[in-house]
Amino acid sequence: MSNGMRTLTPEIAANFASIAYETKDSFSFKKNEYYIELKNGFTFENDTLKGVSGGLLERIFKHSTPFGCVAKGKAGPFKDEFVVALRGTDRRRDIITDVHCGVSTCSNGQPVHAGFNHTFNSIKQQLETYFKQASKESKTGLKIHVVGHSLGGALANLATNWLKQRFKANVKLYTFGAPRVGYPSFALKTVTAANNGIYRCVHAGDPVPLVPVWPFVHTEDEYILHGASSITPRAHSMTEQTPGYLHTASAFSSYAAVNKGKEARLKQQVKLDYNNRLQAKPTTRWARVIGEAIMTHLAESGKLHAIQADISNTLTVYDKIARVLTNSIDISKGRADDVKGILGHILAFCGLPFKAIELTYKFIRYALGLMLDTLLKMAKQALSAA
Amino acid sequence: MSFLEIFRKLNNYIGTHKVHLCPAVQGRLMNNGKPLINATITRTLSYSDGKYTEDMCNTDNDGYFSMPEKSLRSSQPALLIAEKFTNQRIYTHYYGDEYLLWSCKNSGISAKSEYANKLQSLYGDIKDDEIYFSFSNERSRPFKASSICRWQEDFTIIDAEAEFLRMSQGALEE
Repeated sequence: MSNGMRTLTPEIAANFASIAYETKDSFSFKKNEYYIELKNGFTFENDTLKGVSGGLLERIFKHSTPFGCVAKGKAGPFKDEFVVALRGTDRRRDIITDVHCGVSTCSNGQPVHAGFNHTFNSIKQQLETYFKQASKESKTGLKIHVVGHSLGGALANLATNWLKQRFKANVKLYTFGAPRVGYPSFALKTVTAANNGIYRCVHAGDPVPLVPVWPFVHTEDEYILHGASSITPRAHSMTEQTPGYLHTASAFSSYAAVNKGKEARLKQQVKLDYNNRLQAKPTTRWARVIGEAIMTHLAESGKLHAIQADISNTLTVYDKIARVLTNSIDISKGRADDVKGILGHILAFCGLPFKAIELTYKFIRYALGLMLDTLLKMAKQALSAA
Repeated sequence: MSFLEIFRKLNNYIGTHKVHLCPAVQGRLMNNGKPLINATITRTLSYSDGKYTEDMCNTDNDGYFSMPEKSLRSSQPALLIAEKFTNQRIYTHYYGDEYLLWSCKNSGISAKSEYANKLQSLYGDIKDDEIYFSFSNERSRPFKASSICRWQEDFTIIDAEAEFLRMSQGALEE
């Protein structure tokens, strides 16, 4: 037991991730199967957390919908430990949050996805009020489990960092099918904040953990609850019958029993030759290889750090990458060939291997956009990212 | 009916996908062994995009009642990664007390025969306690629901407390 706190079992964590969706009306909250079972070990706060999600117009109206709930362990294995459960997407507004791709700074000072950060900031006040009181009453220090599915998982990442930083709480993080939240520096800080208590569960066929793409990364360890690798949006669902995180998680009595995987940290050096571009196929493997090639190029041109540290909101990350690639063209022939190789592979990935390449900012940005679109189409998403 | 209410109901007919909310319901309601006559039975079905329907019926002279299948249209299923489910709730009031005939969650937007089987025979007596039970699921883990009704077959009462202890077993073994 690290941090002197217990670990929720996969089944309990999955039940909390599911109950977060039921917080819209109090009746269905009290009568659903998750509540009936969890209430034997936890008391639930009446105030469900309200959050603001969505695009600019929605933000101006500050339309808020409940974003989850807080529970406190009563007698039993989780006595006096808290659980914060955050929900994912179920309306159009939230989807916009899911793919909005600016970058802003979160509580640990690291750049993260601006859409997630905004949504988290809107529920922060309620967490603050609640845990301020709780930390006064607690003698041994707060112990908090943060749980979330999908967008809720991304918020849970941010909540973990914030609770650690604000209340010096012991935190453990449990996510199901969460997207990538921030840059490598953020992922590292998250691991430290949770003192390695991170249980990031995925289904191999779930498209959501694949986005946003480079340079966003996950925390390193992942738990693969279901191995079928053909990508389908069904694999993302929490409660759907097959596979459904709730069902796959319930099959394991503890996290030790689950298959582990690693987030490939984009550390491999990859160079792509334009003439070999026909090898690129629209698969997740090639999405990763092209991502690695772009990262390699950015690192070599010394711009990687600048991009990862730049948190201005006016340009998306992909605009900045496109600009670096454009600048590379004039530096040397080797650099220009690199860019050409990357572009060739991107176009082949998108099914346009014989399209003529122009070495202009406009074209490079177009190719990056095309790649994102294709990735999102692979992820069967309705909206395009950057 | 207010204008907003009319608009809300109209909105249930608009959308790209048909969402199955609840199969046809049939049942009988008793009060200590005698038919409960002319009791109003309410069914609320709320879908995860925020739309909901509410309909009512009354029991006849022998306590029998029935309700048609219900669905609505929504565009939410077009967002492929959104979480889709319906909360079904059927209840009645008698002398100020509420009795829950059926409370269950149907995940997804399609009809399931297991649910139809249960809802075809909603036989309950308001003297009975509300219980939490499971019924079989052909594809995955059993479905779970709460009700004052009882069924002859495919009906296992769950001890929620024991269920929680079983769930937390893994945490204790650490």
